[in-house]
Amino acid sequence: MKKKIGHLNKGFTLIEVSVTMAILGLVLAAIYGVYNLSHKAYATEENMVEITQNGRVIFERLSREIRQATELVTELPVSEDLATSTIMFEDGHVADPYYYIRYFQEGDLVKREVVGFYFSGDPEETLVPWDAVPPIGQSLVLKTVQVAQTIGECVDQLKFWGSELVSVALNLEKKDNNLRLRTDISGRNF
Amino acid sequence: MNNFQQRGVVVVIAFLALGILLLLSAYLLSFTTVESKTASSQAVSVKTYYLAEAGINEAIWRLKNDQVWEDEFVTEPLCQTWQASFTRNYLDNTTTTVSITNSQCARGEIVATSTVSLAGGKTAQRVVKVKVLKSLGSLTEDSPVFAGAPSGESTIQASVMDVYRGNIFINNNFNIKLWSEVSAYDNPATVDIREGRALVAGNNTVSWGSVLNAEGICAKNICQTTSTCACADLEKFEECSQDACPPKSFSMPTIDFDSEDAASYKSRATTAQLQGQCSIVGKNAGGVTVLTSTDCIFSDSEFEDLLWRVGQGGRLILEHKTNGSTVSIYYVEGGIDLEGGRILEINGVLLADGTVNIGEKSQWKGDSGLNQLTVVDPGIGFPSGILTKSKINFGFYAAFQDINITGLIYSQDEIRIVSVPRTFEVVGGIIARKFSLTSAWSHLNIYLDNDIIREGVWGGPTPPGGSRPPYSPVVTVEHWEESY
Repeated sequence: MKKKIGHLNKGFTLIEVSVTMAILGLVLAAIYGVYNLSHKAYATEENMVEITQNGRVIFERLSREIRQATELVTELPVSEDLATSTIMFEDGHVADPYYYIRYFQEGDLVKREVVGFYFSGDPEETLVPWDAVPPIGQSLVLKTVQVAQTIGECVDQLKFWGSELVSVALNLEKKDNNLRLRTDISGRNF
Repeated sequence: MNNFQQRGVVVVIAFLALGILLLLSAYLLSFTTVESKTASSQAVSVKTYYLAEAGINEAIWRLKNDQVWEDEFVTEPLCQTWQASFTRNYLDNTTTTVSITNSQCARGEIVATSTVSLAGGKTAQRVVKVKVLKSLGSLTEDSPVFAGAPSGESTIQASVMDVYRGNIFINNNFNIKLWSEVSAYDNPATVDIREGRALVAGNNTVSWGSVLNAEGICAKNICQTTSTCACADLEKFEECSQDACPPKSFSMPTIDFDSEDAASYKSRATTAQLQGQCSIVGKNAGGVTVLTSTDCIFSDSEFEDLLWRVGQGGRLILEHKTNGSTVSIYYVEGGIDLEGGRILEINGVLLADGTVNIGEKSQWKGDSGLNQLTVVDPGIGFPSGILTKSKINFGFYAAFQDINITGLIYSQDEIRIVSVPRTFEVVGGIIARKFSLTSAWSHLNIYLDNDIIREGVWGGPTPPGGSRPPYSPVVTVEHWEESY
């Protein structure tokens, strides 16, 4: 019994402990490596999902509104090199005319606002076309009908150009993850 | 016991590793599920949109090709409230319902609703609404420049003429010379019809450094068509076939100037005068009103007197008036001479039995100056323009200023335009037996407007007593909108 206790108290040799620790360390390092890699992949994937979803939302809403727009106000450049980052067109969905929707980039956000125009001498601020000529002595005043709201984020660049078709390019970016989307939209009402 | 303890380490490590793997797979599962749901929702949304669009296109196709739809859409009187619908069922619980409701003849709204049934009793839906119409066929084969004489040649020299959205139709020979440039452009809005053609029943001669730019040239001596030649009106012109040139001859549309019929222009002018629906205001060069008149019908000397009284630099304004049933129509039983620095503004339509000279002469009994003619279209359903049984001449002293005419310029004889050093713009059309232009290379811009031509020839939105021309085969999409 004493011998047995003695044997039990004997403990591990230094070599045994060292070897065990070394093996354990290697195994844990390997597990950590796999975990770290997976976590990074997960984070990248999560970023991609986020920017993809932002891209989808922006394109979905923009495409639908341009398709049904009644008039394109922004004069778009023909080539992509001269593309603009903002677009304004007349809303084709509301029953009342002369509501103008504007999409623009502000920082890494794409925003949408609705504006209207009226003559400075009109106290009722009746909306008129964007190119209406005001009576002598008056001017055309812009008023915000719906304040700018964020439609999508993580936007690196938003570009509009085209002649018959409206071409849109959208570059999204989040923590070194990039997504480039582009589409051509055919306005059905102009 | 020692061995047992050492095996325990392996168990711990195995559990640790399995735990981490479980965690990772849970991560993976979570974002895969979310992404998969988003992606399928996106896919369904795209699917519903395209199905709705397909439904709209099928309805438009039926309006063009399905005999029943084609007839019922335009046949009076039932077409005014005509309705129809159809449903398409696809695999995967997908349905598109399309309905059309007319608001008036040849004009209606198509609504296409597509639905996809999803798991859990949910549905995805998209609605596309489109307003469509068929316009009336053209009286001049979509030509804003229509020279209808089977004899006599039309000549363009030392000029630049641009014809937009329509064709040039010449019923005899067409000569372009002295470094002239004549262009005709297609109307991009009418995809099914290729306008911008030169249709010449006789020979087309382009000489002396001149150019004719057109989508197609169809004459006795030339048959040029573009490779994209759209043969929507093949039955009429057969221009895509080399053997079919020149185009068939068309007689010019006739106007009822002064028959006994109550619908003739003169009878209507008489009625308008009785009902006090005419108003003429004359202003002198300083803008002061010097005369007013409520007459609609004038002899040539009476009309000349009005022009004389406004004085040099004065403006004679023929105003537009209507009481709903009668509209102002001004009729001169003779010729009109615009000379001595006068401005004539026609809001609506002015008719003359004799020759209309605009700026043929500078001098008029001591007055002198440039003369200007402006025609304003009072709106849909009302005629506008200057119409004569005889000739119309735009002379040298109508030049040096912008001339804007939104209306029909119609002559039962010849229209001659000489010297246009400033822009001359016509929205509507020019119809004559013969047409000649010498503009000193200034631009004569002519934009086709079939409605203005019809209203001018008929005197209103419908023909007087006669039958209207058939509707155009083209279905125009007027408005498109989407909702969910």
